[in-house]
Amino acid sequence: MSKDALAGLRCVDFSWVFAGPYCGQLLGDLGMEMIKIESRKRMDVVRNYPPFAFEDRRLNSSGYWNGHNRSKYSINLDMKSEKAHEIVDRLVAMSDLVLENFSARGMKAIGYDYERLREINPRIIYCSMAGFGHRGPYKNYVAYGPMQESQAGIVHLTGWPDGQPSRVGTSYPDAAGGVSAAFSIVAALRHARRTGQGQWIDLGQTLTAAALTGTAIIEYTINGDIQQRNGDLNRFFAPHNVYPCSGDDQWCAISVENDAEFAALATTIGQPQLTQETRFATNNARIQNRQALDDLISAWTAQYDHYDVMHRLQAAGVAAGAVLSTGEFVADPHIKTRGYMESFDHPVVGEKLYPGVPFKMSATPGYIHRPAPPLGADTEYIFKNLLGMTDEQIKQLDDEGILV
Amino acid sequence: MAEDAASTAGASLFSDTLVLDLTSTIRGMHCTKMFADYGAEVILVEPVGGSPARRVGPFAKGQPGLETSLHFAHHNRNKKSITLNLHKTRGQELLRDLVHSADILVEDWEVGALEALGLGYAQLREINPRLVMCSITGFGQTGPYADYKTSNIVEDAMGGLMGITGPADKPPTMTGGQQAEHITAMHAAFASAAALLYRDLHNEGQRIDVSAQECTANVLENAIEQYTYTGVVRKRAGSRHGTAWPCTVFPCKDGYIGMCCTQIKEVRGAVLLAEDYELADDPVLHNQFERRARADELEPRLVAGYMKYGKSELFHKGQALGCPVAMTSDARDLVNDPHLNEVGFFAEFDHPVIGKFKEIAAPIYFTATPGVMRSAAPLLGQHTAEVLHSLGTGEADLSFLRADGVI
Repeated sequence: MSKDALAGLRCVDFSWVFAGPYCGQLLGDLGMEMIKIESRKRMDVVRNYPPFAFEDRRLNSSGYWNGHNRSKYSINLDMKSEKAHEIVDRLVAMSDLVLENFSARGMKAIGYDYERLREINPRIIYCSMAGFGHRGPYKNYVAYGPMQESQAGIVHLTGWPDGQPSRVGTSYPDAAGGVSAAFSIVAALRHARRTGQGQWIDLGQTLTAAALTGTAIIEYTINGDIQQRNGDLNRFFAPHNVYPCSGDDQWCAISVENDAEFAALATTIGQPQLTQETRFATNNARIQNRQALDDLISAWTAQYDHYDVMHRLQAAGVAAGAVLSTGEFVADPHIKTRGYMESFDHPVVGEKLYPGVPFKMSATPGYIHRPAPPLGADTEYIFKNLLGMTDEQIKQLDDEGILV
Repeated sequence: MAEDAASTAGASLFSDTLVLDLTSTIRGMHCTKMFADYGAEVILVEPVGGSPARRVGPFAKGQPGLETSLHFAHHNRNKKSITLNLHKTRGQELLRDLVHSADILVEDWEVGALEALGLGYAQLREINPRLVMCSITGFGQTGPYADYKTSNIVEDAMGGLMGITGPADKPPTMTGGQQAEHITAMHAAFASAAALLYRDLHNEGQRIDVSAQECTANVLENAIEQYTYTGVVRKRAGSRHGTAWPCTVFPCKDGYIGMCCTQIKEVRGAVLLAEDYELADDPVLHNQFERRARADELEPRLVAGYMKYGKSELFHKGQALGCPVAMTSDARDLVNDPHLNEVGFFAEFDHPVIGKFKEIAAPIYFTATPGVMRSAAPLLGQHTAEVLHSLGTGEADLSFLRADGVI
């Protein structure tokens, strides 16, 4: 049994969709006990999001949900009932964290806010993840990752100058908010351990995404420049692009930041004399003549498979990376050697591979602790083992429709 | 809230935490920035000639110089700077002295480079077994690509994000604002903070090996599961979400708006915002899968309505209709945004060379331990004397170290 960085910590988890569950995934994989609360009346909508393991889209067969909700426990509670509140109060009292990513009105709607939570448990860390946070003029605006990305300034910077701006191919602010929340939570838990002081982390996903735009803000406030999207080019270095390789829609990214790397590139593509040509001899000259240079590089890359292009250039010390499809990524020899993808046997969908933990910790390696739970699968563990209830008491709650 | 603020004035999240920062890329510098912004003492250890990040543009007023890189200034505010030549024995000794009292060391050097100088994890843990050492590279410390060179576009590519980003009729598209680097930094910060929490309790430090390729792949939402569940390899297909509709980027009169509707009331809000009252009553809207399948046919009707208005007007009007709509902000929109300004998203910094400027502050609001904006990015070696004095180095020694090219 491995040691866990977050062993002995417990979370009452009201989160749903992507941002909160991604945070919970990171925490659960490091050993925090995540108790996810849903109900049949109001289940996490992502349980109905593709991909599905079966064509009939049956419950508990969503890969989207199962991927982000491993290492968690699931119970059902009808939060409209008073008895559910008694149970949640007891769970909060024995937990370290309450996590949710409702809109700013959502937590109050199920009967809780920070004041109430800290009455129950003064040391509790409460992390909310509303789209714009709980303060300010937009606090009640509805916001999901794909449109937060626009508001946050990332869409404006992504895509091609001759076309419309583009979303990143994932609901990026959810992921950025999720990992920002996970960082904030462990830091606040450490602070609580050191000082006995709990607190509320009011995280706005649009803000945590906007904080990842690099220099865009200060280029405007200092230089008055509004940064624009520029496809795959880098303003400060050339060559820097993706290059077509043999095969259908195959590409390799190449970036060269200095003359030594350019010399290595020129030699690898069989044109060492390029470093002597005035149009390519310096980085500034290469930026000026980037199209001509890209044409020369493309003529070489087009002869080879994208992996082949990457290996040849990397062997010479040039930063190059094949544009991997998801299928290629899963089969990639490096990813396999690292053991990044992990599998678990799920009661409904069986054995499947999932992204694992994207870093390795030598003393407390994170890993997928348990399969994603089918809806309400852990009633017995939570109610009996944790809350010490008898079968009879549980049955009574069930009969009263609390565990729906 | 007021009570919290009053009772805990001066508290910070990482008070008494010392971070040694041996990084010069976004994946490293943004990680240590998270600690600096929330109160840790972060000492950036630069080569004598300055961090390579000081040579990366853009530059203030377009004037390249060691103190004018906005790239450096953005990622290193709230940090201290010392210079130390780690290729000299005395420089290595001084770093080891600093490691004695450090909590975290973050580095983004090539695999094996610090070991070669006697500064690898095995060597540093001998000095300080409580040290958390976080190493951030493109492909991690192990495996066949461990020595491969990297950059944001390489990580976007190898992490699978680029293949699913951008329009179908263009080459795979890089993320704007170097997101592979940023998301890697955030995962490294999370892992480091978790290791610190564990260290406090068990008195045991550890080594963290962060792979940018894996951090990028970790945020693909459901694209990898789409492959492992159904065998379908996702292709890039513009801004449309795979499931929700309407959920994409739309043109409008003066730019673009972003939208993402998942529930029927939100979908109706989007349609009403386009003033297409006939479509608003169409039963097709009620089926999640059918409305997504008819996106090609339905979207031009929405665009026709949105083209009549500007992005700011559509943002506020749409939100009033219950539609999750945003404006596609550029830097000016963000800097002038009333919400961001009211909630303290920005702070003013004063840099001795660049001057005063408005910049992103700490974006996450902690009621008891808010972020602490202490200083603009340090001048090269600004804190060398202060930090070395704290290690017991006297003035005479400093002169000697300077003459010898150690600092």
